[in-house]
Amino acid sequence: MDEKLAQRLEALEQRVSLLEDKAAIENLMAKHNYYFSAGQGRRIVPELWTKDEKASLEYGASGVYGALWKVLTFYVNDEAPGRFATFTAANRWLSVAGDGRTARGVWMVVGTETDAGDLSGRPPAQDDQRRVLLSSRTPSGERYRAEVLLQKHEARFVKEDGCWKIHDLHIGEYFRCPAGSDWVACAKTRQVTDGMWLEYLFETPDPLPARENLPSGATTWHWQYDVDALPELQVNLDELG
Amino acid sequence: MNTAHYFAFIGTNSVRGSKGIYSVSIDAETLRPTLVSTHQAYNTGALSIGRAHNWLYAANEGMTFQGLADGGVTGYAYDGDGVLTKLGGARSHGQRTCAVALDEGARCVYGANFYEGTWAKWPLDETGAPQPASLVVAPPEVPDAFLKALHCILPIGEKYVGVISLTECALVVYRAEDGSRVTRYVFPNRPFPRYLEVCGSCIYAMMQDPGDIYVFKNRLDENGTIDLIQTISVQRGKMAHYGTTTIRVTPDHRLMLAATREANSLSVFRILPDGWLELADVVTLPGETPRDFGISQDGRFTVTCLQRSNEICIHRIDPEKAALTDTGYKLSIPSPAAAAVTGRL
Repeated sequence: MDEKLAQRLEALEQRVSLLEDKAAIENLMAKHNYYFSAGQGRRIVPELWTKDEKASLEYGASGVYGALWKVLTFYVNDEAPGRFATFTAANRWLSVAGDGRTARGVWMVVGTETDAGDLSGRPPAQDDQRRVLLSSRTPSGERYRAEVLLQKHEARFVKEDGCWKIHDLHIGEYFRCPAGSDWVACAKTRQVTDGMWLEYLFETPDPLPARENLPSGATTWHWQYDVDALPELQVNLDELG
Repeated sequence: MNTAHYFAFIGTNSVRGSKGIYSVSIDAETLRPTLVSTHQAYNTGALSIGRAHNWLYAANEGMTFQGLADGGVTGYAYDGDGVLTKLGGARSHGQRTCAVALDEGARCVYGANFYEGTWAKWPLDETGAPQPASLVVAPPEVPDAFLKALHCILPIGEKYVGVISLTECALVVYRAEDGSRVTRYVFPNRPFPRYLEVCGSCIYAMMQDPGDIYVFKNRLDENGTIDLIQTISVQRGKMAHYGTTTIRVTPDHRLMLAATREANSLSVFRILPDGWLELADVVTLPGETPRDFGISQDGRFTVTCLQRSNEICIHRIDPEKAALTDTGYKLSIPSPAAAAVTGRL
């Protein structure tokens, strides 16, 4: 074969491979978000995450949950009637390493979180801590949660046995507020419940291999909207390309 | 409140329906506890109370503080009914602030951060409100550290501050004025260090696992050193896991108590004249997981947080016999994690 043609073919093969990798990763994250939004959290780690025990998940100011079993606790929660959470991703920014074995991507994500609270058939008890997180109320005083949120999902991927898998996921949350309200009005109110809400995210009904499900380390980056805050850029542009 | 009483303030984890910090009145004669009020607070991991003022300081052992990925310290004043009024708070420059200590002169508060391994010093204004940190001290880089964390902080007199460092697996002493390092003692065989107490000319460092107490002679003013003089276990027999949480000295400096989670016990040590410890008794508690305890400022009794049992219990302290007597009184409080007790009021 003509050498020039061979080089061109090789370059095209590399481009096709890169596009296939990007498509596969996009599909992986789409599946992640669909499973998350369809009550299929239990499937997410076995199907979509690496098998490497050193995988990690970080959510807002939660600190780094740096073990696969800790990651699982984020996805496997109490399935109370009337609870519902969604992720809808957009604005993909993705970079695959030259060797085709690792990749990194950033998505902007709009989400919802719902807890029917007093309106469900299984309302939380009056002294249940979960009540602090019920940020909306009906005219007659029944409490529930219907929040909208804007997030940045930053992920690292690895190729295992020919398939792309999530290795690290960092969910940065810019704001959340009750539907019908707005994030400016809610900025200070949110600060009161931030911590409790973060702990609640990692509560699971499943037995744990350790007594406590604490973060493995401190928060690496966190920014949330506040009336005095300026936006921050927290993505390594060189790495993403 | 008309009758003589004490107040015990109980900090809680924000789980199982906790309402924050609980104010408990304890009858001065019977030692019977009564819940008098609650104050909303997120994950109070430690409390410190002074003698000269009605001020109480809470370590905000959470992942956020005022919208930041941070811990913090919050100051309160308590009134004659045990009701807390918030004086103010300040960020700690590290997450999960797990220890807080008011200095003897009530001029500042120190706090240690479990994550980041930093410690901070907050000056207090004339009302007792913590001001922004005047000193934030980061740990050294230790390449093989399994965790960048601190577990406890305590002033050593007016000039020094001791911290229990998981980063260095050591007791590290700093100058209180500027945060410069003075000395350290690295615990051998990589135990899991947790707590610190100071009494007279001795410094006591306690390991969570194994449950040993290291006793040091304080020679900081003489030559800038601390000299190990004794190591003693909190239990009579060897345990696979101890989970020892707290040591505290009675105000008369005659006894030291140590709480051990896996044994659900309080150990009682006599403090000998040279500072050495002698194990006198190990008392089984009427519940699970003693996360912390507080000794009344007159040394009459101790209030223990039984974290897993969701209650506190009260024991009389007998300094002569080096013994504890269960009053039989308990009070339900969700996930109690920290205790501070006043003197008789």
